[in-house]
Amino acid sequence: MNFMEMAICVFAVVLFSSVAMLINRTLLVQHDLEINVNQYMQASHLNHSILDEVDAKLFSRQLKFNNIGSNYNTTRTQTLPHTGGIWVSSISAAPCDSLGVPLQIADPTAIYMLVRISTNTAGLKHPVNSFRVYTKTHLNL
Amino acid sequence: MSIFLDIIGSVIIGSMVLLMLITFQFRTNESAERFIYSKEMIAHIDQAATQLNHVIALAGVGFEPKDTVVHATADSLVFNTYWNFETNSLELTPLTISIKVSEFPTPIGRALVVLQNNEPVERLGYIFYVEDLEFRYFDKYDAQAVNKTNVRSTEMWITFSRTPPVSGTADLRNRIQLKCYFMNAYMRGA
Repeated sequence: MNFMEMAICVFAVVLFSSVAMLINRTLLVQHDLEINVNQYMQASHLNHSILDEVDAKLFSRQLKFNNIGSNYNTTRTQTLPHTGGIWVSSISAAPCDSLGVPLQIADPTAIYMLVRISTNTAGLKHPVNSFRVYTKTHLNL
Repeated sequence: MSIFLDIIGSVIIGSMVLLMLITFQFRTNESAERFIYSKEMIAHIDQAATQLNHVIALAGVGFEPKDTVVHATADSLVFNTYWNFETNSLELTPLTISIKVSEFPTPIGRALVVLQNNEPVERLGYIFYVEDLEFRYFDKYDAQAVNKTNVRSTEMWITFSRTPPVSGTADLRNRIQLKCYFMNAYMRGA
């Protein structure tokens, strides 16, 4: 085998290895996306259940509107036995205007409160963010 | 002689490369089909979760919170309401709604059915591909509820399963855990 033949052999090995790696990588990326989509949906439902919890407690007067800020500026870690994994939700609450834009200057008479939740877990590419605006009424004072 | 060896070697290597490419093609195709199936399943699960949340939020309309739940077990939930889920309006007579997994398997898996006075609610449709459903119940303080009069929210553990697009490969299985609040009960002071 002369030098030329050896060079062609090495080139062929490199070429086919690259093709194999590329295809395997594509398959892994697809599988990863499949898992990520499921995690994204679970995180989204976790966020909504926390937002529903705020609604429910405001309705039943277990939570006062003015206490949303003190009760929902926290981090909640949950272990989900069914889905698996540890899910960390960062919850923040701040006064906002009717469109959900946080107020730059503190206003004690603000009647809207924005609750934002960002949930993440191992393997999720980006944290899932949700928010809801709550309105002060005579029922949740 | 050396020409023969060259030709045989080339044929062997060429066949191996072809086999490798065919395998890759097959796996890529399988993966793409699984991904499409998975995407459909995710949309289906999301829709199912939204529907279930909607149904449970309207549990006990017109009833005292303690009288909302008729029957609460790990595999089914039955509650009272004056809300008609078929017509999406209030009724004058009370209705009994039950959520459970059908006992009869179908080619597209078992169905999670919402029954209104023992009749399936057609408008909500059947939620198919369900493998398992388990309920957990909580009181107004988010502690495990010990009796049905204290139930104010439920956590549903649902497993969806679907046969794979390519036979001989693993089933597509998705799990979701969601918590739904009996909003009407909370509106009446929980």
